[in-house]
Amino acid sequence: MSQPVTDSANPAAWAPATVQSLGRVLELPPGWDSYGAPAIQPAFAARALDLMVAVLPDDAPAPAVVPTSRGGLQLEWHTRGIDLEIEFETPHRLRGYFHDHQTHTSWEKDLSADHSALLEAIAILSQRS
Amino acid sequence: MAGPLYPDDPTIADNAALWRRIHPNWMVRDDNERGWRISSAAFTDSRDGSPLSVLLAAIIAQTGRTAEGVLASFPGYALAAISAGLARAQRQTVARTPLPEEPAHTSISGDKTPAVRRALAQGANWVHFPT
Repeated sequence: MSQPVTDSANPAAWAPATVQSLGRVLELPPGWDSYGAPAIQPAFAARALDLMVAVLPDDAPAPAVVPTSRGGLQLEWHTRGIDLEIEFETPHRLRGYFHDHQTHTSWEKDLSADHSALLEAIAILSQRS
Repeated sequence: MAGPLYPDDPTIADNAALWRRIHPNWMVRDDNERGWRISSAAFTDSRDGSPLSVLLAAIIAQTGRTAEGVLASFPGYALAAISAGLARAQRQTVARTPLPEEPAHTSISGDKTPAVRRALAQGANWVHFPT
């Protein structure tokens, strides 16, 4: 069970850095990428945070929060032999990519309605040292 | 993007270097490779449908400029290179689209699926990494 990220007395390990990264991304001005990108829409950040609270265990590593030129964002982990990327195409349309360097398992999936593959990927990521 | 906006320019050789400015947020720590990777987000078309903008390195050189000069107005940015052949292998077209202020401006057109964006990012090389 994930610790609620709003429990400031005992937040999940990934929460402080991730919330800070989301805040920094939301501060990017229009044109931030030098190619005319719009500002990042707060709805994307809110959805990303909701998703992380729902699926990340307390001891999961923090993701990189990566803005996109379309005003959205991606969450990325490249650690513990895993590449995991979650792209928010819209606040409610998610695509995921997973590659395990140890088992050579890969998938790319629409995660909008079914988080089971994502939960499995995060379990591997969190349990592996 | 459903398809190419510009026809492919065969005078741009497959080994021609195409430079893309990399915003600091697109440089992602990669503990698996013990270094920094370029996020696939760096190779997304614009929201208005404009194709991916790059610089044709040969024209940068012809106009007496350098990678450092290209980034002079963009502190903290990196510069990455992909080859025109890599883009074409991902079903993209490569076309010169010079701008008044940038004669080296070039466009990579085509459907940028997540797999295409990852392939472009993974095939990119650092030209300049900020210190």
